[in-house]
Parts: sequence; C-alpha cells; structure tokens
Amino acid sequence: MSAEQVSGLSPSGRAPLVSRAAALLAGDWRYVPIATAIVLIWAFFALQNPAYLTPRNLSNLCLQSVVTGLLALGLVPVLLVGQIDMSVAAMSAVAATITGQLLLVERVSVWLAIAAGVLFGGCVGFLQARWITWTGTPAFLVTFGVSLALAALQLHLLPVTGQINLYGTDIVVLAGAYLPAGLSWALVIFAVLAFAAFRLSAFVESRDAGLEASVRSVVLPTFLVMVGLAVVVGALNMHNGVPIALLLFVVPIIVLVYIGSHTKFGLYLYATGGNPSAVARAGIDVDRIRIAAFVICGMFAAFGGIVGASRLLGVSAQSSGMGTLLLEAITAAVVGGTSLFGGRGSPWSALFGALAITSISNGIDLLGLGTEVKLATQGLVLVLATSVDSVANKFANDAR
Amino acid sequence: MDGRELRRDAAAPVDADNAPLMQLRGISKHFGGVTALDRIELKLFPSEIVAIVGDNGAGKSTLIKAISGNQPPDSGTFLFNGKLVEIRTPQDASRVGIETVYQDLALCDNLDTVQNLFLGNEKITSLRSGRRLNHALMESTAREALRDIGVATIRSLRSPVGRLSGGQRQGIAICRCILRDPRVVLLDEPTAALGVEQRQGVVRLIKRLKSESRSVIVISHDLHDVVLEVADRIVVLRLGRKVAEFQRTGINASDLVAAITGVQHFARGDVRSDTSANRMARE
Ligand SMILES: Nc1ncnc2c1ncn2[C@@H]1O[C@H](COP(=O)(O)OP(=O)(O)O)[C@@H](O)[C@H]1O
Ligand SMILES: [Mg+2]
Repeated sequence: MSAEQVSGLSPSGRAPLVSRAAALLAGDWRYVPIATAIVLIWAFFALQNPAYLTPRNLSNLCLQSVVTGLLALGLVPVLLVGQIDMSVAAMSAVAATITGQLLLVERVSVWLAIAAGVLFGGCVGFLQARWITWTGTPAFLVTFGVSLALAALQLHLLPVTGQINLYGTDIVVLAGAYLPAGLSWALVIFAVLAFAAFRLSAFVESRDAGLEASVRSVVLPTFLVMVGLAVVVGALNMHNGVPIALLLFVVPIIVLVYIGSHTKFGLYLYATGGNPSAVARAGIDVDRIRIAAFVICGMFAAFGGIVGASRLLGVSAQSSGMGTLLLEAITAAVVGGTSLFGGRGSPWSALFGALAITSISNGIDLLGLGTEVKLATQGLVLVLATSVDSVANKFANDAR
Repeated sequence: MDGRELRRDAAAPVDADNAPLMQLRGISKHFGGVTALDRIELKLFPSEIVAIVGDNGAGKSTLIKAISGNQPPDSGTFLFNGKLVEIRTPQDASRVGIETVYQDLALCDNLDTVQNLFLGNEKITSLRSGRRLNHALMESTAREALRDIGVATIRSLRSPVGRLSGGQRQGIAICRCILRDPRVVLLDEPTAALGVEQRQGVVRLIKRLKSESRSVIVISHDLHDVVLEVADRIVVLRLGRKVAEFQRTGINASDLVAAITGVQHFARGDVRSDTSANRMARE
C-alpha cells in the first residue's frame, strides 16, 4: 500500500504561517519570548538607573530569584500533570522553621537539619496528593486548606518571639557562599564537555537508527551553551563569584530536564497532563505519577524555604510564609512557559520565569518605587502571563 | 424474525472445522437498573472480521469495554484459544493479545507521534547507556510502521499529534495497536469522525489487519462503507441482547436495518435503493 493510495490520511500543502510560527514557538524557539522579555526588562531598568546592570546587582538578582525559582521548579511537575499546589509557600516556611529549630534547639548537623526539612516537604506532598487522588477533591482546594494548616503549624513551631535567628549557624553555607573563580571556570568547561558529549551520543544514536541527523545539532547548541555560560560566569566572577545557591537551583533543573525528556516517568508526567484516561488505558498508574509530582513539589518547596532562611539568616512568619511568595512562584512557572492546563512546559521555565519577575521587583526596589507599584506590577504580570497561557491553550486546541 | 436469523447462524457457523480464537460466554453487565449486556455469546475465529451493529445504547461500547478489560462484566467468561482467561484490566487483555482502538483514540494531544505510538510500551537503551528512553530506535521503528500501513505522510513525527488531521490521528491509534502485535484488534467506531476519503483509508487498514491474520471486532454505524464492506460476520445488538447474527454474504443493508431497529418493514423502498447503491459500490 503506497502513501498516495491513502492520501485521505494526509494533509496536503504547507501549513499557514501562523501555525508554523506556533510550532516553532512550541519547539526550538520556546525560550525566545521569555529571553527577549528579560532583555527588555533589563534594558528598561538600566536606562532608569545605571546601577541596575552592574555585576553586583546581577549577582544579587540571581540570589533573589533562587527562592522563588525553587518553588516554581517544584510546581513544574505538578503543573505538568495538570494539577496545582497552593501550599508551596507555607510549606517553604514550615520547612525552614523545622530546619532552623533543629539547628538551634536540637543542635543537629546542618545537613541533617536540611534533610529533615526537605523530607517533611516530601511527606506533606505525598499526603495531600494521596488525599487528592483518593477522594478526587480538586487539588486547588486541598492544597489551599493544607497551606492554612501549615501556616498554623509554623506559628506553633516558632518560639514566642515569632522568629528564629540563624545568624552564626552553619546554614549560611547554602546562600552565603560563592564558588572560587577557578572552580567556576572548571565547572563551565565540564558542563560544556558534558553537554557536547550528550548531544553527540544523541546524534550517533539517530544516525545509527537511520534517521536524518546533522552535526549542526551538536555544534551549534554546544557553542550557544558555551557562550551563555561564559558570559554569566564571567559577570558573576566580577562580583563575588558564582553563588552556591544558584548552583543549588540550576543543578536540580538540569536533573529534572533530563528526567523529563529521557525517562519513562518524565514522559508520563507530560502524558498525564495531556490525557490522563489515555495514560491509564496504556497501563500506567496515573495516580502514582500525580503523587510523585506532588512529592517532588513538596521537597523543592521545602528546600526553597531553607535556602531562603539561609539567605535571610532567619525565619519568621512574614519572611517566607505569608505575602506574595506563592503567587510569585506560580507566576514564575507560567511566565517561563509552563502551562496551567497541564502537559506543556519545562523545568527551565522556573529559571527564566523567576529571573523575569525577580528582575522586575529588583528594579522597582532599586528605583525606590515602593510596595504599591510592586504589588500592582506583580498582579499585572500574573494576569498577563496566565492570559497568554490560556490563549495559547485555546489556540493549541483549535489548531486541529 | 429474530429466531429465523439466529437459526441461520446456527446452520452456518464460520469455518466449522476451525476452533474459535476467542469465545465469550454469557457476558452480562448491569448499570443500576439498566441491563447493558444480557448473556452475550460471541465467537471470534482467526483472521475473521466481526462487525457489531446496533442502535445507540444497544450495548456495543459496553461489550468492547468488557473485552478490552476497561469495564469488567458482572458475569460471564472469556475463552482464548479454548482456555479460560481472566480479563479485568487493559493489561490483562494486552497479555492475551487483545488491543483496542478506542472511540476517542486515547491519544495525548501534547505528545508527538512517536511518544503516542509507544506510550506505556517504550523502548529503553541498554544498561550501559543508562537505560534512557531510546528516542532514535522508537522514531525509526515508528517511521517504518507508519510507512507500512500507509500513514507515511505525517510531516513531523516530533510535533504534537493535536495538530494532526482526524485521519492521521486515527492512523496513529491503529498503528499503536499494531506495534503491539495483537491477535485481536477491537475498534470502536473508527470512522465516526472521518470524511469519505479518510474512511476508505481506515477500511483498508482493517482489511490489512485481517490479511496479517489478526482477528478484528469493529463497531460501526456505517453499514455501507464499513460493515458490509469488511465484515465476515455481523452481530446485531439491541437493548443489551444479541438479536441477530449474519454472514456478510447474502444480506443487504435493509436486513441489517430491520434487525437493528426490530421493525421488519422499515422504510423498505429507501433501504432497497440504498442497498443497490451499496452493491454497485462494492462491484
Ligand atoms: N458507565 C455507565 N453508567 C451507567 N450506564 C451506562 C454506562 N455505560 C453505558 N451505560 C448504559 O448502558 C447502555 C449501553 O450503552 P453503550 O454500550 O454505550 O451503547 P452503544 O455503544 O451501543 O451506543 C445504555 O443504556 C447506557 O446508558
Ligand atoms: Mg458507543
């Protein structure tokens, strides 16, 4: 049976320009809009105040984006499976409190204290996901309820002063330390080589399987990664160096990106967000995938809170739990291109999204515009980002 | 008239010397007070295409869901190659070699063609290369399989299937099922959402399944282009009961319509003219 015979099963002609552009934006060019947005934001604030684009402020900006970014990173798998976790901010606060109290009161080692906090996040994530999948209650409501309970738990755990002072404890290793310049360059070389090797093996596998493959798919991305890393590390080394906290954010992103595109579990995260009943009929335990997503989310939320405590050298009900952290984290993930409708997105969206919104709030602070401008802008960005997501989702559904 | 048709079945079993590949015995299913399936008996022989027809609510989908393990029946048994088998989940069905092309196709619109074709059945690289998803092997296998069944014209196997046409999506759903090398393929209304030309593509695929010595059970409302075109045997359901069973040879659409509705002289003239058109189309 030849292909012509079944022309009924094929479209003919070229796709219209709009849908070709949409395909590009969904594929290789996925980060072009958000990267452009970041450049525009930077240009705008740099014109207002030259202090904005200094290595010192950029380094500060990176550190500021890490906490939001870690929460957003945890949200990515949950959003991918088409759910939401409204408890991430409260979770980060409680985990930071647990870690802080273990350090101060129990005097356990810093790693044990961190592990306990992260473990707590994972457990709460598991419990709420088990409840959601078992009862079928919308995740929005369950996790929102849990976040109130977590806020209460934090108040209970905090001493009567309402805050924990972590000054002088070992927790400072997370957010207060920087890589020596030599080590950072060695890491860059290692990262570029690893990336090139990975690309090369994909190229060889494609070629051996008889697929179209070109060496350009190895050389060009490797070159871009090399230039990008060199610029970032060079700029950061002009101030204190590469913050350890940035590594604690970027390395998990790379791990999650790998899981997302090279493991069954990662594939099932996307598939579950796309069509859960199809996934179930393919013999995959959908509930387990969803639960795993919430566990990852809880752990990253907890870790984000602990890194935040390390940065501020303290925990209070205000520092991490309340305020706008939750909405910032959701906005970051969505601004970065992870859809609220499930099945679309990437861990990189946490990095780009967190950088974008932190760049805005950092700039507003620098210009001394005050909280009202900041709140209004954050709200506007949230509405804008989710609207773009919704329109894109509608477009994807109409495209057929 | 039901009795007459059932007797006809008894008088002319398909390949009487052949053992049936699959046999359903007394399959019943109730939803509250509704009897969706009432003691259904059904045999399926090797390389045979059986069409199931019936009005809306007759129980066709429920029967398919029972066989595919999506909705186990309340009572009744399955025999496969003469042996009793338990089918409670889609995986049980898969294990004995039954694969289903669902009415909704069960595709993930956000995944690409290759990912959909291998969903739940992924190929993994060797331990030495880290037991990753073997993207390259899956893509080349997919390319070959799609070309094989004549759906080679999907422009990019790496773009989301949500952007493809109805016919292409149907082709992918059927291809996915073929990749698992089933003995029995169940198809629930495979042409319902398709245009004329795409419908012919699907009909060709069904015939191809038979030529590969697979057995097929197909649900369809499309009496002319699908049922009378491909089926060896036609089973009529009405309100959960098997009311008639025909060999394809020697019946026409008006017999079928009468059996489906239970009205013998239903729009006789119209049906007859339909039937002659159908005959012409077949010749
Ligand atoms: N999940 C269900 N819950 C309750 N009733 C159902 C369910 N599935 C099917 N039915 C009922 O069973 C009968 C047969 O339905 P179905 O198998 O879908 O018919 P068909 O596919 O032939 O149109 C109908 O009366 C339908 O309302
Ligand atoms: Mg039906």
